Amino acid sequence: MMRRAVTLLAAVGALLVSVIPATTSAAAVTASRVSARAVTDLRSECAAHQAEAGRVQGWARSRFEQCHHYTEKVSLYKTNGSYLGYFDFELWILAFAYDGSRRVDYVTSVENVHQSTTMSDELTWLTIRFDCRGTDLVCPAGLSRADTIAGWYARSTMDTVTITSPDTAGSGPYKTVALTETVGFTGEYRDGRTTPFYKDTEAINHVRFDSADSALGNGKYKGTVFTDHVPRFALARTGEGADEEARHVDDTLHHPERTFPAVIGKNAPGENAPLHRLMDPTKRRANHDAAVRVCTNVWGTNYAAGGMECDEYPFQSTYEGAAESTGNQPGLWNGSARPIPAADNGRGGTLLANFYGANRVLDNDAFFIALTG
Amino acid sequence: MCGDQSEYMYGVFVTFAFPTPTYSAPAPFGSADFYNETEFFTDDAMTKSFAFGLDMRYSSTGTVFQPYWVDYSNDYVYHNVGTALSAPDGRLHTFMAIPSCDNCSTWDVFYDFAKVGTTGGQPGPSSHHLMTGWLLSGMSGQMGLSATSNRVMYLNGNYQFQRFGRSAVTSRAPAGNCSPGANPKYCFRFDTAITTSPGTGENFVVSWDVTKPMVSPGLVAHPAPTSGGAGLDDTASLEQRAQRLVDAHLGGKR
Repeated sequence: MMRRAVTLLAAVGALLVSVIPATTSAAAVTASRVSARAVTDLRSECAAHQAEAGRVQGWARSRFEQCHHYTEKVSLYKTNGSYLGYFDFELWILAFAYDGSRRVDYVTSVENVHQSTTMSDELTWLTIRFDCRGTDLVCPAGLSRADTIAGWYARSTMDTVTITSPDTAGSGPYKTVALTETVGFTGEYRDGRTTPFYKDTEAINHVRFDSADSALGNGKYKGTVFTDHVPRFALARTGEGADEEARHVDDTLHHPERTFPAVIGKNAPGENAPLHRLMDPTKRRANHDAAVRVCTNVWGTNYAAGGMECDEYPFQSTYEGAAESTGNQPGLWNGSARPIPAADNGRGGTLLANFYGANRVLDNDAFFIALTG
Repeated sequence: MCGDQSEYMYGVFVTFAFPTPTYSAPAPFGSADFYNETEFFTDDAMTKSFAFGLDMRYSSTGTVFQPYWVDYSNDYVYHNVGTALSAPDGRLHTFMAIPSCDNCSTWDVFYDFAKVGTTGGQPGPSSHHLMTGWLLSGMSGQMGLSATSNRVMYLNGNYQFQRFGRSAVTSRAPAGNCSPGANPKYCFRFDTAITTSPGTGENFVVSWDVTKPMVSPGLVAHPAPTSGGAGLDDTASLEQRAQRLVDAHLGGKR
C-alpha cells in the first residue's frame, strides 16, 4: 500500500523538504519467517499504544510480542559546524518470541522518510544496527542494514533478524539465557565534510531463552519470552469451576476484614504490586504448611472435613506466600487462608499452572492477578 | 455462651459443622426442632439483634438441615440460606456479619463467604453483647446430638476478628443433668475450649462445645435444674437472660 505524498515546510529556515512516500512493512515482510498477519496485527495494536511503543523499552503486548515505534528527525552538520539539513523517518521494530522454540525474530522497517532538499538522496545514509552480545547465543550474519534514503524508500524493511540459543545452553536449573537486544542507528551524509549522527540506544529489548523442561508446569519444555511484559493471571469470578478460589482472592484483595489472619492494614499484593513465582518445592510446602496453621487456628483441626482444603492467597507457589514473606510467621501475613472445596482449590491450581506454562513464568518472575466477570 | 465485651464489637464470625442426630423414637413418633444460633445484639437492652445458624428439624419424614439468618431489627424476618440438606455434609460452615459500610447500622451477612443478605437498620453500629449456642424449641421423644463446636469471634474497631477473652464470656457449667430419668430437654453437655496467648498468659475462648447425649430411662424423674444453684460458674442471671431471649424469639415466631 502506498501512502499519499505530502509536502512539508521545515520549521527552521523554512527549508523546502522533499517527501518520499513510504510503504508499510506488512507486504514487505511476507517473505520473512514471521507471518504477515502476525506483523499486521501487532503493528496495529502497537500503533494504538504509541505512548508506550515510543519508549526505549517499547510496548510488550504479551510475553511473545513486543514492538517499538519511533519518529526520528536527524539534523546533520558540516564538520565546520554549519547546518546542512535533516532527514526524518519512522522506525518500526516488531519483535516475536516463541513458546516452544529458543528464538526471537525482529521485523524492522524504515518508513515515511523525508529529507531536506539541500541534501542528495544518494549521499544521505541511514544505518539501522542490532547487536547480539552475550554467551550461548547464535547471531545472524546480518545485524545491520546501511542504505541511502533512496534505498530505504525502495525497500523499507530489513531482513528479519533472528537470534537463537541452543536448547541445552544456559545456566541454572531452567537453562536460561538472557539477551538484552539494543537497536541503534547512524545518520550520515557521505560527502566527506559532514559529521555523522549516532544514536546507539534507540530501543532495548529484553529476551530470555529457557529450557525449563517439565519444571515449568503445564507448558512447553522450552521457549523464549520478552521479560518486559509482566503477565496477568485472569481468574473469572464464575464459570471456570473455581468460584470459591476467586472469591477468596477477591476477599483478600478487596475485603481483607473477611480474611484470616487478622492483620491491621492488610494489603495483599497481586493487583498493584506483583506476585513472584516460587518454584522450589520445599519452600512451596513451607508456604502451604504456614497457611494450614492459619486454617487450623481459625477453623480447628477439622478444617478439611467434608472435602475441604486449606486454600491460600497469595498462592503457595509465590514468594509472597505465608512462610516466605513472613519469616514463617503466618500471623503477620498480608494474605489469607481459608477452607474451600477441594474441587475449587484443585481447579484454581490447574488454572494457575496453565497460566504459568502459557506465559513461561519461571522462578521469581513477576505476575499480576486480575479478577474478571 | 454469652460474650459481653467492653470493647465495641462491629461484627461476628462463627464456624461450626452440622451435627449428627440420633433418635430414640423412630419416625413418625419423634420430632424435634433445634437451632444452633449465634445472635448479635445491637443495643444494650438486648432488644434488637440479628442472628444466624442452623435449624435442624426432625419429623416423620427425616431430618432437615437448614441454615438461616434472622433479622430482629424492626420485625422478625427469617431467611433460609441455600438449600436444606437431609444429612450432615461433614464440613465446616462459616457465618460472618460485617458492617455494610463505615459507621452504618446495617450488616452484611455471609454464609460460607458468600453474601446472603443485609440486615435492616439496627439501633447502632456496634455491640457489646453476643450469644451463641443451641436452642431447643420442641422435642417429642428423645434426640441426641454429636459434638458441635461453635468457634466464635467478634470484629473489633480495627476490623479484625478477635477471640473473646475468657473473662468476657459467661457460660453454663457444669453440664445439664443427663442422668437416667432426667428431663431430656435439659440434657446438654458443655465445654468452653480455651487457648492461652503465648507470652501474655491471657486466656481466649476458642469455641463453645456442646453435645447432647440421650437420657436413659429412669425410675425417678429428676426435676429440671434451677437457675443460680450450685454448679453454675457464672451468675444466675445468665440462665434467666438466656431464657428470656429464647422465650422472646421462639414465642410462636418460628
